Amino acid sequence: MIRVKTKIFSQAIPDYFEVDLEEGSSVEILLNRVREGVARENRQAGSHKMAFLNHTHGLVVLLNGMSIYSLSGWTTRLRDGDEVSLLPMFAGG
Amino acid sequence: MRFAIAGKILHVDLSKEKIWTEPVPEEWIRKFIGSRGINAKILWETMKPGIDPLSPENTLIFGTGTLSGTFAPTSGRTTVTCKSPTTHLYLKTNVGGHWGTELKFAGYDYLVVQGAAKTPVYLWIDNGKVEIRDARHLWGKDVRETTSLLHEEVGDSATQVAVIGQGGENLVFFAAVMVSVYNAAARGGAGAVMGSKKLKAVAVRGQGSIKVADKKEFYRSCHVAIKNSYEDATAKFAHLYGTAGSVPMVNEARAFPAYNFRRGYIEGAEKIGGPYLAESKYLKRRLGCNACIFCCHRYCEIQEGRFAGCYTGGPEYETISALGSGCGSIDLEVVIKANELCNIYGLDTISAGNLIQWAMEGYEKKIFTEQQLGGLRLEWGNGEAIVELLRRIAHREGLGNILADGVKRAAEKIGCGSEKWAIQAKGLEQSRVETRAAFGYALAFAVNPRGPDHLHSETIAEFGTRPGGRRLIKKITGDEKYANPRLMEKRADIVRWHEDCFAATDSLGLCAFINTSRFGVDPQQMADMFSAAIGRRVSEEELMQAGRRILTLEKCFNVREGATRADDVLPWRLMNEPLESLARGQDVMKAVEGKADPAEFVPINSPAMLNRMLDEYYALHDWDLQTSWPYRDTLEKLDLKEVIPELESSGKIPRKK
Repeated sequence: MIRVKTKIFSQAIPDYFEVDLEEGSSVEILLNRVREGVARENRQAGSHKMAFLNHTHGLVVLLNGMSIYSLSGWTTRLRDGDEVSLLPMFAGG
Repeated sequence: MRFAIAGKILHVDLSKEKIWTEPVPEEWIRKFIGSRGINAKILWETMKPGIDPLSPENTLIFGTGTLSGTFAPTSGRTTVTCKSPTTHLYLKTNVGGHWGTELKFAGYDYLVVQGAAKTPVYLWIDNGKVEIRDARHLWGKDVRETTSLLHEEVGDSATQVAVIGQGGENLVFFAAVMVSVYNAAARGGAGAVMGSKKLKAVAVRGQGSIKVADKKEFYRSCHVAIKNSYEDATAKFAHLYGTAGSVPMVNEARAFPAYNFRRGYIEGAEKIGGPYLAESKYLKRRLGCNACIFCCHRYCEIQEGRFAGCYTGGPEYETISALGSGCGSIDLEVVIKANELCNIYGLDTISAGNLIQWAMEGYEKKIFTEQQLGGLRLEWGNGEAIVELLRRIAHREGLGNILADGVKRAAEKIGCGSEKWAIQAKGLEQSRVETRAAFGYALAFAVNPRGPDHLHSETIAEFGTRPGGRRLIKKITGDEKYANPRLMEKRADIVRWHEDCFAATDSLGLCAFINTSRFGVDPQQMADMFSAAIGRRVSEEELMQAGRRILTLEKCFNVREGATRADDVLPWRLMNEPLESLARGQDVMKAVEGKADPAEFVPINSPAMLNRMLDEYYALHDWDLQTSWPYRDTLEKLDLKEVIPELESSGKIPRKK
């Protein structure tokens, strides 16, 4: 098993999840597991978060600070201790 | 009838108290588009190399965009150009707001200020009437007070004012020219140049209008640009959260400078981020520059507590990092208060924050005497100390007087190894991107003629986080896989494309947020708007070629001043210390040879890595690798023959081997 820290920035203050996964699991598997976890939460609190997580094309997904698209996309394999951040598409500074 | 432009350059010689106008040559529009491009041409023509930037011989130029005054989206940007007191090299600094458009409506595209007044003055431009007026009663007043007094004096609160505060008056090397209180032409010390000329302000009232050549086609092309801009996923976030919206993402990307660039990450950064600000009690309004379709500016107030009564534009992303995380603080109130002080004293928030961080690290290392500190306790995150030090910088008091000369000179004066944590190159304090986490940025910062910052060539697309950015990287390099900030390959191509695009964007008076950070408007669409406005077909290639001509002319200004390849470097810390928050102990040379896994890269801009990217960049420009100077035939191909005789006579046209 591996443990991956996940940060969800669907609102101003992020939510943190620690997710246990099988060795060799991908980012896509992680996202599905996170969705399952959010679905188990209070429905009202979870609805905005779920909409955020379901809008996959609008997500910025960083693995240890790197966009997954600079790695192997959704099939990028995770390792124990990795940190995944899920953010909206902010830009400009 | 001239389309898109007012058609006139307004010259003011403050030493001779002389005012005159000249027409804008049509040839200059073709070659240099407008604003930044024509400013660079005027600067080249009016300046001799080697002059003191704070002497009357410096030329201060305000240039409006060729599309400013039309409804082209985001066309409210103005470029201020001069020789920088910070770098002693070329400086362009860009500002939004409404001042530039007002100047154009008054009948002038450019204001060129030469000489220096004996006593403080301001310029009053009331449509076709221009006066040099006494400003002794305004000297010593801050930006807000001066703006209010000028509004009263001319009897019109809609008058647009470009003004300096105490920072510019006291020749602080990073003093800003403030526009309408909330917008700043901040980088590189244009405010100090204005102060050296004893020019307190330029007040403008313009009630004319600008005509475009092909109204129907212009409307069509503008609507396409607006539609495409709104289709970019980030457009709504720009409005909702401003540039501060980027804070959480850049922090998560480990590229958010903290503790004077010792770290690229700070715990709790979301509490100084745009979404948090939007939900806070501080954010009161969202504002836009002239013809803006995003309105990314913020206006904040603090109504209670230690900073009660504070009100200011901002904070922007750069300000938040410079005066927040960089100083080890995630206190939003401190950032807002410090932002207010920079705006009313007229200081660049990026450089001001950089200086305070340098001083905080120096305090930690005990390099200052008690006398220098004057009771200041510069611990990381000490908000009161940040606020007090800003006041001392603007008024050149105690340690503030040392810091007011910029971080390079401050480190030279204090010594004790502090030049190693002075985050500057070419003398300019670096802006707020961790270049050890993004190699395109590293190259762009190293070669930027004005010094290490993001506003000549910001390569956001290389992060690969968004579809528009990945498409752009594919367009430039032929393959989306190069949308990876940890690769050195193709960085030269990516940087050069952005240079061309930025130069064209600035020169049209458009905002960089419309095409290189939102990806809504591509060069073809800019060319369409430009063509319809001026009534002459300009292709995408011609527009981008003009962008390259502008960048090369700016480079030539620096070559004439004596700059060489040795100046194209990055701050010492970023080239010699790995970034803690990304370090994985990999071999630097393995990364240089491209053998390292991008996920396992070495977080450092080593000389070997930078040299490799510089070689590729100079080769792509067809500049000499040893000196970095453009060859004769490079200049000829770009139709920049006019700079050759002067460079040749000083031995600065390299021979091709």
